[in-house]
Amino acid sequence: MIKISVLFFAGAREIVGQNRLEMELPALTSIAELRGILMVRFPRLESLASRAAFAVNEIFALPDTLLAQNDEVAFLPAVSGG
Amino acid sequence: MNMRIQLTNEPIAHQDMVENCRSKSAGAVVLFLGTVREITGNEQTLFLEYEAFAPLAEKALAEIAEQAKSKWAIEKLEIIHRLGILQPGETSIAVCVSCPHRADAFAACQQIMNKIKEVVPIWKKETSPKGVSNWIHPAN
Repeated sequence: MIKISVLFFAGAREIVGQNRLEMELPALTSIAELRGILMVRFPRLESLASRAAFAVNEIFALPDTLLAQNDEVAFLPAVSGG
Repeated sequence: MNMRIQLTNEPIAHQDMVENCRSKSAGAVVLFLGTVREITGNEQTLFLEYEAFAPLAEKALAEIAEQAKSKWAIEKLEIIHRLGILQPGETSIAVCVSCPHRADAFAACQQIMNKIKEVVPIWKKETSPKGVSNWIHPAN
């Protein structure tokens, strides 16, 4: 198992109720699998997840990016800056 | 290329950006200001709140700037995005670009803004006069 943290922003943070979640996952869990786990735990994230991006350790990640011990994942809902 | 990328909680001094971007080799200086609109459709905005995933937002802005630099003959470029609570009329973002010729300066400024709205991890929350707040997450 690996320990990771997930950061939530904006509307996603309001749904989850906190800006940082510590999680324990099987080694080599992918971003796509993490997304699925988060959807089960927080069904209301679904509305944001289809357009959400992910970052791992402050670098944009792909669905097949694999997670490692102490990774910091960011769940990034569709952006609205500017 | 001289370049400045900044996230700030302070009001944006866009006059300074324009002066910084002037150069004897630049025949064109383009400034874009994004400002808080009070009325959108039928809805009134009391204030906006901007939040960023700052470390990645700064990296993404720098990458957008580098892409623009590789495409157009940019002399100087400054991008400043405001965070925190903004009242209607205040400036949320300023992009200032100088180039030898105006076509490049307009095109670069336009593309930089389009990319910022597409990928940079910054979000805004609208609050109405009735106190209703909503984070904005565009559906497409």
